[in-house]
Amino acid sequence: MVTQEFEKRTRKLIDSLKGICAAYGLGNDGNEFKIITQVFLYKFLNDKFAFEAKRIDPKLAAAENWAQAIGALSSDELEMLQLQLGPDTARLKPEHFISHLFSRQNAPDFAKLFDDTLRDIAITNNDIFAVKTDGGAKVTLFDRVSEYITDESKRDDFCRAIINKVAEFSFERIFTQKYDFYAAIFEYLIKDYNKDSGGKYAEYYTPHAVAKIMAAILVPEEVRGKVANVSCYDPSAGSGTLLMNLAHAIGEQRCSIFSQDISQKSSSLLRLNLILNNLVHSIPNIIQGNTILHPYHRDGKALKKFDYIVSNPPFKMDFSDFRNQLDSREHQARFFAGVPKVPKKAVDKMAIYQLFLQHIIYSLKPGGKAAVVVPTGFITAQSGIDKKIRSKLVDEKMLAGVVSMPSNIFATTGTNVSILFIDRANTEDVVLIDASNLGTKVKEDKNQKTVLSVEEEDRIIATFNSKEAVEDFSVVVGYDEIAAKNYSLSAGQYFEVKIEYVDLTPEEFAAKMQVFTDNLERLFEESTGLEKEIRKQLAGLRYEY
Amino acid sequence: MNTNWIKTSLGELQRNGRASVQTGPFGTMLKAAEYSNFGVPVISVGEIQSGYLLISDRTPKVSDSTKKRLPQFVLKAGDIVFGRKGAINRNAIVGEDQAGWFLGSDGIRLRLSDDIDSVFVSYQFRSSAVGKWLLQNSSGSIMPSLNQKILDRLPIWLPNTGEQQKIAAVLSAFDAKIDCNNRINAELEAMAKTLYDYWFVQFDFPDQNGRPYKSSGGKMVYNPTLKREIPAGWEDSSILAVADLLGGGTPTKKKPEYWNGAIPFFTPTDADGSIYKFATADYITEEGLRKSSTKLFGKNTVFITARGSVGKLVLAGVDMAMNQSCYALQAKSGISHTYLFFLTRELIHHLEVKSSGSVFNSIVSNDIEFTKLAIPDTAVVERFAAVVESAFQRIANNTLENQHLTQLRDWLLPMLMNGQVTVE
Repeated sequence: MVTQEFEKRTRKLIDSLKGICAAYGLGNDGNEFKIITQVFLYKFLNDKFAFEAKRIDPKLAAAENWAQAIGALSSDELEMLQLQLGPDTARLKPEHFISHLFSRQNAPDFAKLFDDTLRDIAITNNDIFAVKTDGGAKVTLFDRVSEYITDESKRDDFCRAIINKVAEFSFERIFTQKYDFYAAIFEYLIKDYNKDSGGKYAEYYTPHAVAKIMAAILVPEEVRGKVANVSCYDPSAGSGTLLMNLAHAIGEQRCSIFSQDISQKSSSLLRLNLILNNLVHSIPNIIQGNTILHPYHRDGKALKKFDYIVSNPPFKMDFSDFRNQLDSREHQARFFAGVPKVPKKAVDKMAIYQLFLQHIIYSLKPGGKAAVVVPTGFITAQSGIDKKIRSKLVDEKMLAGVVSMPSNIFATTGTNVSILFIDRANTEDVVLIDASNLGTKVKEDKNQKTVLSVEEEDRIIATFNSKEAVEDFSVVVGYDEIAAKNYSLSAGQYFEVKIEYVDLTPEEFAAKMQVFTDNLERLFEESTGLEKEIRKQLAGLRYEY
Repeated sequence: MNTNWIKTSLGELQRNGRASVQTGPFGTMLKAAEYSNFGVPVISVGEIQSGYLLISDRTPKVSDSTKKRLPQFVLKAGDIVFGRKGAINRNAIVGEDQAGWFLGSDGIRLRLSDDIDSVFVSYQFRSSAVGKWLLQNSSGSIMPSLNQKILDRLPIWLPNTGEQQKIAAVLSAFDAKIDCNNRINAELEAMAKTLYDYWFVQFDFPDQNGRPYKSSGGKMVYNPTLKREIPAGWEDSSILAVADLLGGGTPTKKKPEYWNGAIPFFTPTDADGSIYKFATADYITEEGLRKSSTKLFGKNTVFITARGSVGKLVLAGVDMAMNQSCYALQAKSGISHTYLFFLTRELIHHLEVKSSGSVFNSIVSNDIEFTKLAIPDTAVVERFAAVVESAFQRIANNTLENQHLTQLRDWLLPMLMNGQVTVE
């Protein structure tokens, strides 16, 4: 019950922060999300610091006002405390605390003080908390948020309103919460900002069902807690849902996360997600940049290879600007199946997922595993790059299977999707699942959406992991069988076709034929009679002059 | 116009007590919750065909208690039923075995006194003149719809009762023969299908001793591709082992000289369930044929509709061209079209099962090339053809005959209805 209460209060805090932004004219402004996420993060880091500090020093926990108690520490004592803090906790000075700002809210130029404080936290913690771009620039933790308010005279009031809200209750109790709690909070926090903006880059939120199925198949129950020191990568990470699910399945402390995403917004969201999920140690591996053109992660000169890769890449995008740069010797090994040509019409429909998929296959370690969302058309396309990619997966025995999802599993797109599972260690059977008939249709806003129940998700996972063939649902086939079917990965292609007929004994057959014969005999007679009738009727017709 | 005929209207007939019109129950009277799986069919516009009623799985039913509560909507033999909206120019006679069925909410029922022949009136209402009148006088902005007031004004021309019956008898003779031909065709098709299943699906074709092969212990071999046992000597192969696959094309619509010629031009909309096709909606010219990628397909070519309405089969009754939304299968020499027709049906069934997942919304050539089927040796195919070809020829003849009968009936109908042609 405590959890629910805290979740409610946290949501209320997020709502009131949004309310403040709206009151100051930032509703639906591109900067609103920066303010909300950064203020939330400030609050989170502040309370996390308090939580950790109290754990280390019982005196602080006992103090009536912990912030004052820390302020009263000598500089040596403070340094000692900082040293003992875990790597996931931001290093804060007493003047960084919310309570400190709260007590000074009536000072002149409060907005400046507020911004300076956040900037100072960002600089102090830059080594761990900054995200890099593929060009090497560092994106710090906090901006000068009050400067997003154009009217300077309103900035002090705005910051006051915010500091009053965040000082209201403490997060300290939530740090004992589990993963699911944070996933829900994170989703609530970003729900208004993670939408298809209609531009070239669409940040579709990957549905839970997809994230859960991917993680549960890549890291089945029996290996959980046994996998360690592995690298997990998403070349189009978005806000990181897939990576978080994967990391949680492996264990946050047993893996390092690597990502790249072209969107600035996604990179900050992903950072926030990592901080919430005890994955601060991976923040330096979060790269903002163009994965296709400038893949960042490397071992020496060669591209880095990973143990696990998950991805829900964009399917279609106009990349005509840099298409020809990709079609060069430098990229040939990576884009083994080719680079899509620039079409004459509809350049915005260039199949960029084909490049992501090839990049993923290329970036997988021997023995590595990957799960990728692809448009269902990919699994049956009969020629071109799609088929070349499938042939490689099959001929080189690195396919684990495919799960074809129901239509409208993504509320924002009507494209049918499948999840492709690659496993370089899988030498034998391939599992193909047709889950397209599962799910319940619901209306969300104006969109039709299909939702899988927990039981349905578990059924998909269990069937896949046990390599089980279920009538009209799944098949287990060999690589050579797939090659013989023109490399089709559609489960339906392999279902056994039952021909509906009743086995007849020779006697039954004879009896049935007799019925036909009798019926026809009668009909032929009737037909002859009718012919006579028509002749008679026609003979009686007279044309009147 | 013959002077013995009287021009009257449906309203006048009602005032004289010679006709009664009843519109279907409103939703408030008959709630959807009263529809059940048992009882009598509810007749609405969807069930009303030109001259007859056709009920389907989707036709709702009502129980006896509903009939008792709302007796005014129970139909009697000889009633004429119309659609109240949509296809309002169609009407049908309630037959003897359909008495007791129930009038649906978008149906209208016309009941006539004994001195008026309802079959005659039904034909009159099916003439193009009345059809036009109904459409012109209907209300409704999206769908044409009828109401009591409009129907009151509907003109009716009546000769004396004997004359009515004679005219009805002429036209009914055509329809009876058309119906009989359709029943013969259905029977012949079902018989051929039974034989095909017995021989090629159950593998009980006649062996050397004329006994059913599999049931008499004929040798069966497990086929790993098909994942089942098939008779020894049979092969797994795509349908291309017995037929050539060809595509179609469309002459450009920009050139009117390519269109409205003498060559039937088959498209998926022409597939209406009958096995043979002699006439199509569109026709092209010789020039249109030469200047497009379609070719002329001979009699007995199997057409498969591949886009639009998908997976329907038709045999060409005469030489025809075909558009690119279809595929054509031409039987290889020594292979009967009758066997190919049923084998193609089996293929379509496979494709339907396999497309579960994606919607069965198109067929591509790969689907045809990569679907493996059990292909028999040609001797069995020849024996099948010997039995079934005459049945198929009869189906073709009946289809063609129906086409001629329909044309003749529709040509005579208006002339019989205005007295231009009389019956002795």
